[in-house]
Amino acid sequence: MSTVTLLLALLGIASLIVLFYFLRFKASSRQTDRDNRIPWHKIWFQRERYKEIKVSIEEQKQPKDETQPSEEEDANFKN
Amino acid sequence: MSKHAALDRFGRSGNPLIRSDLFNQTAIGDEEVTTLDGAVNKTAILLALTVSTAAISWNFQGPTMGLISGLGMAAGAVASIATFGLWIFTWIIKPTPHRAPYTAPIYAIGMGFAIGLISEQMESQFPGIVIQAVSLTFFVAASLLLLYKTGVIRPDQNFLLIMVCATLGIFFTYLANFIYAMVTGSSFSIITDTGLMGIGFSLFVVAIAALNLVLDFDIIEQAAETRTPKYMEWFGAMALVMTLIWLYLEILRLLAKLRSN
Repeated sequence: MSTVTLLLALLGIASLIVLFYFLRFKASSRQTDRDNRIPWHKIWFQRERYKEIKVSIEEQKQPKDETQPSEEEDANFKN
Repeated sequence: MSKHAALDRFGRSGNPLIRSDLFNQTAIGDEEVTTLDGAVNKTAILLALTVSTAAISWNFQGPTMGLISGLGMAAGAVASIATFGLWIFTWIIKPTPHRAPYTAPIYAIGMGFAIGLISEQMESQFPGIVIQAVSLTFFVAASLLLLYKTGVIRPDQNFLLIMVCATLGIFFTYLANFIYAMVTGSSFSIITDTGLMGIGFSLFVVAIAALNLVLDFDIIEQAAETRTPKYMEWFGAMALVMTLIWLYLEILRLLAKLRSN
């Protein structure tokens, strides 16, 4: 193994450790606190958002169903 | 509304629910959400799978392994299209990130077989080239990660548009080269040339592949920030591994060209 290859191998191992160590950390506020970030949620997360919204709308509808007058109340009203 | 009509088209939907303001809400409830740790662990699992299958195809050469590698590459292509979709001016196949927990390991295993075969052939021609290419790949990835995390590189919509155009351009160049090679039996000289033009083209492709890593880091970061479902860890990890494999192959090609001179 040549010296260049050996040095590059050591560099590669160090880089692998750096990659997996720093990937676990949150990015700096300079990266995250800005308005022009890429809207990934619009590109990848459409289906997930649709499901969430559908569930939340169904939950909102739920209380309305409970407040529906019973058949007895309907009958009293008609009388 | 963004000033980029093309980007708006990505997320446009005819569904009034999705078009409403409710789209921006992030309520997942008690469901497990994406974390950076989870995405890192999944990336490690996928890389381990790739290296394992690459080691198998490296050590067991022969026509059967050639067939397995070809099938592996095809499976990897199908798995990536099934997850990331197919976009040519509009979505032909829509992205389905929820499939990533199943398609990501298929991609890693399939591409591992192909990479092992390619690497072994390159190593027999240029001894030591594989270690150099692997090391440079991780060095580039680690450098770009630090630049991304510290906010030196801040990807925005302009950056995304440039990267999508450049990546599609490279993809169509390779596709045209593949068709040309099938018909004539020879490749475009710019891709295989070991002169200045060929090395310049390879350097350009390596740069684009490397900058694609920034987009992958951003996908993982935002998926963790916005509390997306757990399977987005697999999705982010798959995106990262795909780019790492592409970058490795391009660096391998670049080093081979440099050694041929």
